[in-house]
Amino acid sequence: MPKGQYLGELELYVMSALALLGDEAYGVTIRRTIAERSGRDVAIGAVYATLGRLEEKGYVSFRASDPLPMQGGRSRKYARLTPEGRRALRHSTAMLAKIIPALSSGSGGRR
Amino acid sequence: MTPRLPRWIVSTLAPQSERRYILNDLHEDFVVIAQKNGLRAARRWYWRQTLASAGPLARLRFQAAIRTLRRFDLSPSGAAADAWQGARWLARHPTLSTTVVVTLTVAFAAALAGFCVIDSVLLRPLPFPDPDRIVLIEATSPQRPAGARSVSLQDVEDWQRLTRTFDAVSACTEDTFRLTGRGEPREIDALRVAPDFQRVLAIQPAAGRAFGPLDFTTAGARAVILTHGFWQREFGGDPSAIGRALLLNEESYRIVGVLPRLDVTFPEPHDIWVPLVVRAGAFWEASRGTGWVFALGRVKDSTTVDVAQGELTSVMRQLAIEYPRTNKDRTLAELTPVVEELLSPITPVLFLLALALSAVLIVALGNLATLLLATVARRRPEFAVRMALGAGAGRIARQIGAECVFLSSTAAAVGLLATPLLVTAFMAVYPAPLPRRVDGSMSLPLLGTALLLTFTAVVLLWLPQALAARTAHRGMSVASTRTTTPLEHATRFSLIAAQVALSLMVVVAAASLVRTMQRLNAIDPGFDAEGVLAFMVTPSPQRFTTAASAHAFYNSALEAVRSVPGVQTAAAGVGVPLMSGGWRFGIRPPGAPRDTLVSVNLVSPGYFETLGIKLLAGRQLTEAEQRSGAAVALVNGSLARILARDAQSVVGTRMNYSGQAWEIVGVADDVRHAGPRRPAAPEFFIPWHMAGKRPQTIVVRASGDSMRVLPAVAARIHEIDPTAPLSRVSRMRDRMRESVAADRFRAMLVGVLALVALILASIGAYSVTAVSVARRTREFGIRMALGEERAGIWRRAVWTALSPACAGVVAGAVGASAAARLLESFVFEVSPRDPLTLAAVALGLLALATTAAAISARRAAHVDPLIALRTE
Repeated sequence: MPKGQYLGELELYVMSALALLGDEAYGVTIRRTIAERSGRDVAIGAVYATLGRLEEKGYVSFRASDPLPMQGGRSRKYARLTPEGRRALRHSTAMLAKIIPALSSGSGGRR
Repeated sequence: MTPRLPRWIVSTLAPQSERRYILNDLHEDFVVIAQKNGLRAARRWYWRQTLASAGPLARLRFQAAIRTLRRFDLSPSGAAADAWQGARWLARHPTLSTTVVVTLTVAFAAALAGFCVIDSVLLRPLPFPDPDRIVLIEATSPQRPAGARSVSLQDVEDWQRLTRTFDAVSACTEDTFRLTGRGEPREIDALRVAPDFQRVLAIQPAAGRAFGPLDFTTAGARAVILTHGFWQREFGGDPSAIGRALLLNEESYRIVGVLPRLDVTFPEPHDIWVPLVVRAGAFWEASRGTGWVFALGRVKDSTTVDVAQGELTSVMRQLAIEYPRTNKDRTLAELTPVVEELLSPITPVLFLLALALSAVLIVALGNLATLLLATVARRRPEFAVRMALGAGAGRIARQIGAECVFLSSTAAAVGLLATPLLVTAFMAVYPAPLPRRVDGSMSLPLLGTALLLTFTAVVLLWLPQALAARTAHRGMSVASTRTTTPLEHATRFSLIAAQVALSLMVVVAAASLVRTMQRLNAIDPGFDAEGVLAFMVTPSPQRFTTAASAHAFYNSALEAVRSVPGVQTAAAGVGVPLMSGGWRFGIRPPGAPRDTLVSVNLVSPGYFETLGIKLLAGRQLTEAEQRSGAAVALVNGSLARILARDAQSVVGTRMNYSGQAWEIVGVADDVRHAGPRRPAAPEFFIPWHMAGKRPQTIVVRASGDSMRVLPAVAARIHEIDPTAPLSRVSRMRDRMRESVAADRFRAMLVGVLALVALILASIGAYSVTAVSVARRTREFGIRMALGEERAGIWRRAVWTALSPACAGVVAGAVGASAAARLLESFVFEVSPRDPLTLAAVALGLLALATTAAAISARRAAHVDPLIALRTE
């Protein structure tokens, strides 16, 4: 994996949320998932900025929905992981899984 | 409801493609939070989200902009399709296309013709090798009167001997010869040239030979060289003309050569070259004291004009020591490159032409850009459909680009074809001969200029449209044509403001020039030109050999002319306004640092009556005094003011001239000899008979059209001398008109351009209002529904054109004051910075813009609110 393609923290969060949400991922649900799982209240602008970056890397694709057929229904921009995105997420989580046990045992003792 | 301000912040910051979704997502959460925790908490949440999103959104927007730029597709794929689309659109809008092409063609043709004139006259090198090294040599001194700078032939011969920095030094003087034996006797213009003249210019004869040393000895046969133009006119370019004889002043000259075609007023408008040798009997030619030749030199390649000037000055000082009596006022050499001497009078005129043309060109382009920008609004549905079908902003921009290229290149092609015609028309109305022939034919620089113009036009017309069309799909509504982006607004504002500013500058220039014309027409030249016929006549030097016989010729010619029916009075003179002049000498006014030149004039009895010149004091010379050798003289008002307090007190005093003390018996009114622009010079009238063999002008006052008496007058004169040609025959009134022809031409040229600029600017104000009214119909409808008066609506509509016009007037006023310096050499008793003119033009332009806008804003005031809202 080239150097520039390491995933940032927020990117990792957003991609994880996308993996969890499947076809139901759009701004609101992504934000909610991240908030529920990590306790972080991410700004909507940050979510979109991250999605934009991920799209450029080719990890995410979009489709715009028609307005929902109900009162006040609005159009949404749904996001999903591309196969490449899935691979990148797997790779990153695998790397983290290797590193994190070592970190927690090494630094935990000194604390 | 979501809070307004943060919503606005988000929509401003978010990239346009994401804006809607972000706002929708925020709204969704907002509703949930509001239901759960209340509206206040939801609002606080919304604010927090907005502030936290600001940074990431701004970054996102920046990235999106970069991506758009990358997507800007200028690759050839699909280019043909875009061009086809553009061509089809133009074909479907013939009125618009024709308007644009015609306007552009006129602007281009005018600009290209202007370029031809400027290129031919100023930019191309003179037709001599190394023209920069050819210099006019003049001699001055701190005391020598301004205007007296010429030198004697002896001076030039000494310079040839004593200088080292010149390849060649030579001299020439102008003269006229009477050509006989080839049809009607005529006067032809000759340049008498000293040895080496051809080496100074470094030109080779086109046929035959140059003058050799033998031609300058009195022993050699008289030789003549023809200029190319005269050779063509007189001999049809026949090579066998060389060797033939030409009868000049009834002496036979042999044609030895023909000059190449030069197309420059120096030395071309002369018909022939003859060797410059001192003529027997011409005492001033033999004298070292008279300044009667123009000296020219070719500075050596190895040195500079400044060094040559230094060397020549030291040579002149040496000669002044050697010949103190004649040369004490010739101690300072002044070298002027001939290029400057030839072109400096015309340069400001051409500069003015170029500026006025550029201003009109920019106004025209600005106008068309506004017009085409307005079409983008109407074409939004078309663009939105194309974009919805997958065309990027780049493809739309390319389609518009194709349209602009098509319009501009058509106009440039037609403009190029029209250029030679326009150049011919320009030369036909241009009053004075230009120093060089203007070439209107196709050339590489002309083609390059046409390309440059096309490119400029394409960019100027394309850019505002492309920028406006980039957002054509905004709102994704195919039917919506009612939004104006700030960029579009700013573009339109600056286009109108620029048009108004440049129009103002051109109109101020035109106003100054027209007022100059009025001032010149109001000037009293000191004589009455109406009903006066004037012509020069010289008796045959063979038959009238002595001064006395020449005087007798003019005397009997006047007698004969006065007997012609219809002639009221007739007179002759050496110096007649706008016709001919005598010689000048310097006098030192009391307290002045240098001399003032006084013109010597010799006029026959009846001269003042014929020209209607008033006598200010004293009396005229009597008939007896005119014939006798008495030292009595008249002065004009200017000279009287130098010699004494006023005209009255100068009568009876004496003035020294040519070694005699002349008694002043009368004072004549000042006459502007060179037309109304030049103030009268001091003039000194001595008895007429002293004119001797000098050529004189005869003036005839006749009843009715003065030209009608000409055949009878000519017949009477030819009874006395059948070979005497009448030259420069003209009505005095026409010569007056000619003397201000350059002013009239400038006023007319800039006036026409100003008119064009005004028309274009008002069309601009009209169309910008019309577009704005069409776009704001709905807004106006709502305003009216909410109770705004029709007058208020109307004012709003007018203001859209008036606000940029106001900005333009301010900018134009600043520009006009800055450019006023350029006009200073053209105006006469008028200030180009005159605040009154500026204010009047500014107000006039504003009134015009208001009127144009008001006409087109009427539609806004007649909007029916019901209909306006129903269109939604």
